[in-house]
Amino acid sequence: MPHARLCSFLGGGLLPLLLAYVCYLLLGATIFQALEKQAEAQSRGQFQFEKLRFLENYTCLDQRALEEFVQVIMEAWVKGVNPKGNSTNPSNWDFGSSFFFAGTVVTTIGYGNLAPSTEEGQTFCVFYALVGIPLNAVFLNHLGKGLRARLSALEGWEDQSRRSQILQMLGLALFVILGTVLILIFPPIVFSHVEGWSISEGFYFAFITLSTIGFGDYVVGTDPSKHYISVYRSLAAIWILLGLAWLAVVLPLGPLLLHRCFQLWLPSRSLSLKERGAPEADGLPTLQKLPVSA
Amino acid sequence: MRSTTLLALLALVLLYLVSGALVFQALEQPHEQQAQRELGEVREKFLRAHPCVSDQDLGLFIKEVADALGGGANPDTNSTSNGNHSAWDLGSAFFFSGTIITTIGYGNAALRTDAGRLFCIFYALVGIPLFGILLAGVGDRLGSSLRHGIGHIEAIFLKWHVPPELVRVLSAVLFLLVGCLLFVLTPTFVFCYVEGWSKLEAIYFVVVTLTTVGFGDYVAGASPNQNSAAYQPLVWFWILLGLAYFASVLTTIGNWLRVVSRRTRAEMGGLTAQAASWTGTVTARVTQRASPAAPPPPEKERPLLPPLPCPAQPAGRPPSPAPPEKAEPPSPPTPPTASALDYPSENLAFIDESSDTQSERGCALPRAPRGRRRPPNPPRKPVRPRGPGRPRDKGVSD
Repeated sequence: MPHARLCSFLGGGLLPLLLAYVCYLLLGATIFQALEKQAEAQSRGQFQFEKLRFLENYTCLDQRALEEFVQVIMEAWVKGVNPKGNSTNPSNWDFGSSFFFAGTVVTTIGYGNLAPSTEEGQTFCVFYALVGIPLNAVFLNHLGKGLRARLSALEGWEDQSRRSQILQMLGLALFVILGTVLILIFPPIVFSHVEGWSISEGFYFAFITLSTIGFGDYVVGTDPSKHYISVYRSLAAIWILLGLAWLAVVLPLGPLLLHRCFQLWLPSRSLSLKERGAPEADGLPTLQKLPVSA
Repeated sequence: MRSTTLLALLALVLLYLVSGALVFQALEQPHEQQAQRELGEVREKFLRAHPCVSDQDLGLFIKEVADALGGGANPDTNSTSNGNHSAWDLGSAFFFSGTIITTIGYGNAALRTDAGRLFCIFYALVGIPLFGILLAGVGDRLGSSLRHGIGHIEAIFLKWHVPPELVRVLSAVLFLLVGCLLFVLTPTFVFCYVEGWSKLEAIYFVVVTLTTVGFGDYVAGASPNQNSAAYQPLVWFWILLGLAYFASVLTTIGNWLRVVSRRTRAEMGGLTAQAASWTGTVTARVTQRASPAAPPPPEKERPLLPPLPCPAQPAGRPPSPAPPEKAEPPSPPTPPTASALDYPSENLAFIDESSDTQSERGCALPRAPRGRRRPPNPPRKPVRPRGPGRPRDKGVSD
């Protein structure tokens, strides 16, 4: 039975993959931290110095001095320094934040509120992304495929009684709804509560994040006036991974569920026969490509 | 048929982008202008009061500047002198829509209005799958034309009696090099020249963009002194082509990773598939599940499929040119519905069968079948354009 083999294969293959994945993230966090932290402290000190000097001679301030000052603020902003705070702001490149950053690189979210500013950091980032993004994609694919294979292992589905069919459907639907509430609905509410956003802003943040667009206009754990618990950003990074994995599982599952529902209410064979014809024509080119690739 | 579909798709995406650009412009421009005006007022007030600037005033001023930076207004210019440049003019709004549906999301101009955000959510929900389909089509075209060219070179190598294994490696390297030259090095020099970045900064921007990470610390065409209206749309077209190439590179790296972990199983992965799966699976699964008789993916058996029918092939189809037809014989032994339907995403994972991937799978196979299949490599190329037509006819006659 290919299914049993597939499942056992996934059970054996997924754990090392997951381990490698987490290790890769940790490695990236460490390296980014080592590369970026000093440069960040330096640019922060520079910013403070400029600000103090500005204050010293503001009595004879002119347009040009102001222009230069604005330029300084802009550069500080680009480098990830929040000009609103003072030099005691928590570092952007402590471990939790570096982990968060590595997560935004490999998931291709790329908020951009944090970006490497040193040459070494940028170079490393290029190669880190080149390896990490495929790794992330393989991982998510694998995860989605494994769960899907388990859930669609209802091959003798049509032979079962209607009662158990409905039970299975309900179980599946419950699973999907529960997971969605836990992973997609609950965390944005928590984020909006912690960050002081409105609920709609929280969901906007969640959507921009999980679609991996990542504008960076809303990012968790960036407000210098708030005191977050130390693992807050790491928790956020883990939520992102969970959310992406959940989407990889659920998005293909939705049509399957719909189709099963459809079959339950309209058990006419003619329909399914008609639909069976269509993918055949569609599918054959793939079959033809298959030996070329193998 | 295929190229017209592709063109229609491209037109659809362009239309989609332009409509998105218009909506975003309408939604965001007033807000942006207001932010710019407010900033100008603050500056003016500050300047008037500056002989006796207090620390509090300064703090307020800095806060305003920071908010303006978050809102996309450029505090470097005053509101009157540079009124004609806007982050939401049509070209820039088009570029912004592009960063949404490619999921790059630079964030150098992000939405500030509630209506804009709501629209953005639905815009992305439709646009991202749409772009996935387009990317698959473009990548297919790009990959096959690149491989076509490389096939000619491969033929020359084979004429020189270079070992087939070496030719495989060479073609993989060539594929990477040609793509690199077209989509990484050329844009790098263009950006160096146009934006005044260093080489590293330009390469960093190219990679960050084409992997769709998109930090937004460097954005092409974002500086206010950039005047050419065609520049940002041109950048977007480069992104479209470059993404297809990078998807194939990333998939190749993913395959290497899989090979390293001894996962020789024929499984597709990678960025394209992920992007495509937003719809690829949505559409394919519905139809696929329609036939409950289809057995589960016989992943393990895939490597065995091609070698088996090969010996039987000459008997089956004598008049046709032999090498291109190699692709078809596997269909008789397996029920078409079964094996064909199990790889719906393979349709979109065109890139997975790029020459590089091929070489890896070749390594995973036993030696004999690979040697047998090696010689027909260059003439095999013409099978691709003909591919979709033939089986479809068959499907109709069935």
